[in-house]
Amino acid sequence: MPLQVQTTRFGAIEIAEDKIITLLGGLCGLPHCTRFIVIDPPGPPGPFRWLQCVDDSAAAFFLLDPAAFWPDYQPDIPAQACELLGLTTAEEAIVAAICVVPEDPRLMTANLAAPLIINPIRRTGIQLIVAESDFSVRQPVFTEPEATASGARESPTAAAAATPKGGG
Amino acid sequence: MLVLTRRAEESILIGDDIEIKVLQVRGAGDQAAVRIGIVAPRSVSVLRKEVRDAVAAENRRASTQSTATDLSGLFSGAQEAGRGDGGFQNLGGLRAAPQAGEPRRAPPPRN
Repeated sequence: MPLQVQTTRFGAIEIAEDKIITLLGGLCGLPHCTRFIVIDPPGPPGPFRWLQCVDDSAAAFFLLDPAAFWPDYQPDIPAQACELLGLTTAEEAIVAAICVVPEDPRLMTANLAAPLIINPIRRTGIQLIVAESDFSVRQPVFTEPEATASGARESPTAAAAATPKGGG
Repeated sequence: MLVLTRRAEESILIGDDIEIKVLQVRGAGDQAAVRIGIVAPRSVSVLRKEVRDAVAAENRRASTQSTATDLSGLFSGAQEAGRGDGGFQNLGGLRAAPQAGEPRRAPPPRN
């Protein structure tokens, strides 16, 4: 039975209930946001998605595939999290980073310290705060301020080198 | 809030399997710092509070900021920006609806 979802950004959307992704425990700081739908941006399949909240029509999150920008980025997914999501191995999980896109999208940042870990089969996920890591909550996606999206290919190096948190 | 006084090498037990131990007290005044050891099962999340607060603040920023932003420029370059070899491509969604700048309306009926 399709579900009618009102959204600020995309208008009214009809979606089959089995397409809904549930984030267990909700998003950190937004605990009422637990059910989401994925919306493809225009154009060919790429490293970006929209994650529209079903529980809050105004809440839409811009997701990025960290592997497309930082090939070395591999957050440690604890066995406990795998168990919670019903994953046999961490490799089965989809890892996605939530972005903040300012007025100038070239200054976009991705939250690598708290990626979404999703089991695509069960359509459940969590936001995993990668404990005691050097990953930044505001990792610039495009290193050169003047870089365009297509220029990003050359610059995905210092992935794991995300801003160190300092002292410990 | 329960308030206890502990000296270096003294511990607090929370439940059966969480121990918080004061390892070292150093400095004074604004410089005072306590070094703490934590023993807890792996299932228990242990975080500095400011890390959690930073993630919460970032989520709130992310939930609202993008509404007014025109991202079409990003999408035209998305193809060249590369694809991860992970499972992200399996995160299939609906086709996109109107972008910012276009009138917000329900997607037109198919065909």
